[in-house]
Amino acid sequence: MNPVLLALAAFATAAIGALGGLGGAILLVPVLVLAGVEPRIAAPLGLVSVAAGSLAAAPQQLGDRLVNHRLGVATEIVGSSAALAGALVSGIVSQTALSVVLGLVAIAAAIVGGRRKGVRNLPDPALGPDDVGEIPGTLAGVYQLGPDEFVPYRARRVPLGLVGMAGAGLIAGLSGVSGGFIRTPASTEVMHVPIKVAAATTTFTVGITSAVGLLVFAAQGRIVPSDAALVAAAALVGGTVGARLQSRLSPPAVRRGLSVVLVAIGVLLLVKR
Amino acid sequence: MNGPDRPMPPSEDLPEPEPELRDLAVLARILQVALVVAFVLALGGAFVPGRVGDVSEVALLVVLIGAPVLRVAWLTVDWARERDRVFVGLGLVLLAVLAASGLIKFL
Repeated sequence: MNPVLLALAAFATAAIGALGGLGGAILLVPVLVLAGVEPRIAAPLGLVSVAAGSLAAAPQQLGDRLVNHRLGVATEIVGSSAALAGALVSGIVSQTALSVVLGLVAIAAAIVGGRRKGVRNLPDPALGPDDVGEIPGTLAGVYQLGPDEFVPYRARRVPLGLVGMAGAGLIAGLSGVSGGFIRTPASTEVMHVPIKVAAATTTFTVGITSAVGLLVFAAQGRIVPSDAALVAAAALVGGTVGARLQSRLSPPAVRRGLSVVLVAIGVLLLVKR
Repeated sequence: MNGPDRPMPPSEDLPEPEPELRDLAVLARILQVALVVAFVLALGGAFVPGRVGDVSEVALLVVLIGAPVLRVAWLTVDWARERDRVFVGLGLVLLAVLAASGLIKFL
């Protein structure tokens, strides 16, 4: 593939991934395959872009205190365990059937998120800048919506949310993508976590998932080093841009953008099968 | 906002940040350094030929794989200092799951 196009694709997908908490591999891998890259080479490049995008977004999202690490760690245990199970049985699952299921899930998540109007978690005037961040010992916290608006939130329906995370992890293990496009909607629509917190937390957790995947791909010799370096350089810039954009956009704008991208992912998956 | 009638207080009067916030600020700085290092290594791997390029590519993968694992380990230690026992346990479980995943997939 043309190096300039590869870099542009990695930049764009990492930016969108960091903005919406999607990871980005679910977008980059189909684009690379459609451009003629072999799937066994495209999958590791997808994970390189996810890992780089996650690292790039971290300083901005930590500075904004958007990431709920406790929620991320709690859900990632389930996600990583399911991803391991998925990887172990991936040989017996039809990739065509998997693409159809993933495409339908992405479109359903887009419809559920896109239909919702307004902001679910409202600002509390009693809260101030010192309250922003996680609440120790809980899956709750406060995030800053505007200059003088501070919003409390708490993860709800946690067992059901963990089922969603297990599904995302299973799909990650089966398909080699990070599953962020399921994790973020599961966090917002099932657990009622604000979209910006959900996206930032997913960007943190997909970095963990991709690290394990990259370790395996490296051991299997499936990473083309020069392409991986180019993808990483572009994704590091894209992830930084995506995180900064996310910091400036309103939650409904992020949610609408996420819905549009999820529809694109769904269509891409249904078409490429 | 601090207008002319509201001068900034001297720095010693500013409230001390919470321990967790201070630790997250340190973690953010470490990840910022890792980001810059990864970017330099990525450029080296993509554009520098020969041994320097090869070493840059391997070092880049080490940074990309190591950064999230370091982050989880850092958080677990941070929560241990805060005596947030439930999440220390969860952090340790996640590190164990990651180690097991790496080992099983390797084998």
